[in-house]
Amino acid sequence: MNGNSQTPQPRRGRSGNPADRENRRGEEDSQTPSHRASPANLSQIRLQGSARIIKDHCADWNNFMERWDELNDKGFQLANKIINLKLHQEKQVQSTEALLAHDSGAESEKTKDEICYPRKHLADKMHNITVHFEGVRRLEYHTSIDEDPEPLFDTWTVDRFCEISEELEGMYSQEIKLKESIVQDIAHQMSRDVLMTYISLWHHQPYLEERNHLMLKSMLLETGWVDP
Amino acid sequence: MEPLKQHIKKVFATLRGDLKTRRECLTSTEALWESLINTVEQYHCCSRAQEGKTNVAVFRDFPEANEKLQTKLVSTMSLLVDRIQKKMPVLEKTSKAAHTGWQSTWQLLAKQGRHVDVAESVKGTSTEPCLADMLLWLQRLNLLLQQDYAERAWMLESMDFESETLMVGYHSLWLSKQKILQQEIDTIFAYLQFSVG
Repeated sequence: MNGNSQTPQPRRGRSGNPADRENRRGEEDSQTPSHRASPANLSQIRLQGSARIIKDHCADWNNFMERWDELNDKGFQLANKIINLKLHQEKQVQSTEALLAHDSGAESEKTKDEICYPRKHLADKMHNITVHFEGVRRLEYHTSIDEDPEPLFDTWTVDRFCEISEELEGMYSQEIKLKESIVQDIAHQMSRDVLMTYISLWHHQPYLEERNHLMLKSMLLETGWVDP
Repeated sequence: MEPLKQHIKKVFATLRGDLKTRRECLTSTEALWESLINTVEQYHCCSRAQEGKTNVAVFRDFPEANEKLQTKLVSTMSLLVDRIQKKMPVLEKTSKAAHTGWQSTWQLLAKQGRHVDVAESVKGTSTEPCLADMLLWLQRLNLLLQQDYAERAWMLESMDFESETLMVGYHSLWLSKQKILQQEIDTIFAYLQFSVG
């Protein structure tokens, strides 16, 4: 994922006259391959300012989601181990229950430390992206002559990036809350059905909708990280 | 009688290749069935957990999580059934090949039947089965494969994720049918190994 080329002209201090805007666009066209960075020419354009921030954060979203999936697999293995221990515990005599409960409790703490906190850290970073996007949106509205800013890339305005980022962040933050709740409760449950449900909830991540990867890919396509 | 025998041997030789492909195809469905039954089990554990444990913190704090999970599980189960369904054309092709082979043999028998010495047709050796036996095996193989395909297709059509007992039963039946049929196939081809090659 590389973006190297000329710098688009900054869009500040312009007149509100539509004719002037057309003339300005012509001048910009003569100086840069395109006054807007479209996926077709992003490889030739070095972005700055808002477009750069947006593009970099889209890459961050991709990296964070990949990291999340890795952590989910690790967490699943640990959670599975705890649950197998507890299900095995049901078949043991009562005198060993305290010992095994301690073991599964220790494993539960280990799960929380090893998996939940890094994941929480990721969720915080995802939140920060949305905050940055919101900052870019405010800046664009502030500096734009028109009521609505123009798209920074091909068709998406900053609003669209904000919407997608907020939606993704919402999914992941709800999912981390669910996982924290599971980790806190897992050691206290003995019912096989409940434990199986917990492991299933962990693995299938109900708050992460199937379209989250589609939303990510749309962002990457728009910003030129992937080819159409 | 010789042309008829040669024809039957050719049919069996072709069928042997088809049956090998069929067997590999069915082997590949075993992993899919395992995943399907695991998912069915998860689905029913979720339903029971939701009904029985209203004081569980996770269910209380995330009331929609279980429903979202079950939606995902149903989607996964449907996907797995689709993937098993995609294997069915191979089974269908084999059953059709057996039927075509049997039909063509029957047509040839109808044409040349008058030339077949009945007493000779039941004479065979350890390396060369008699015509009568070969006709019987071909007929049986055709019937078994038709029946097997029809039953498997029916199983896939009548699946009900809401019934864990039914799904587990179908899984067991899917595997046991293949075991029984394969034993028959192996027996027939053991008799034919020297004559068919």
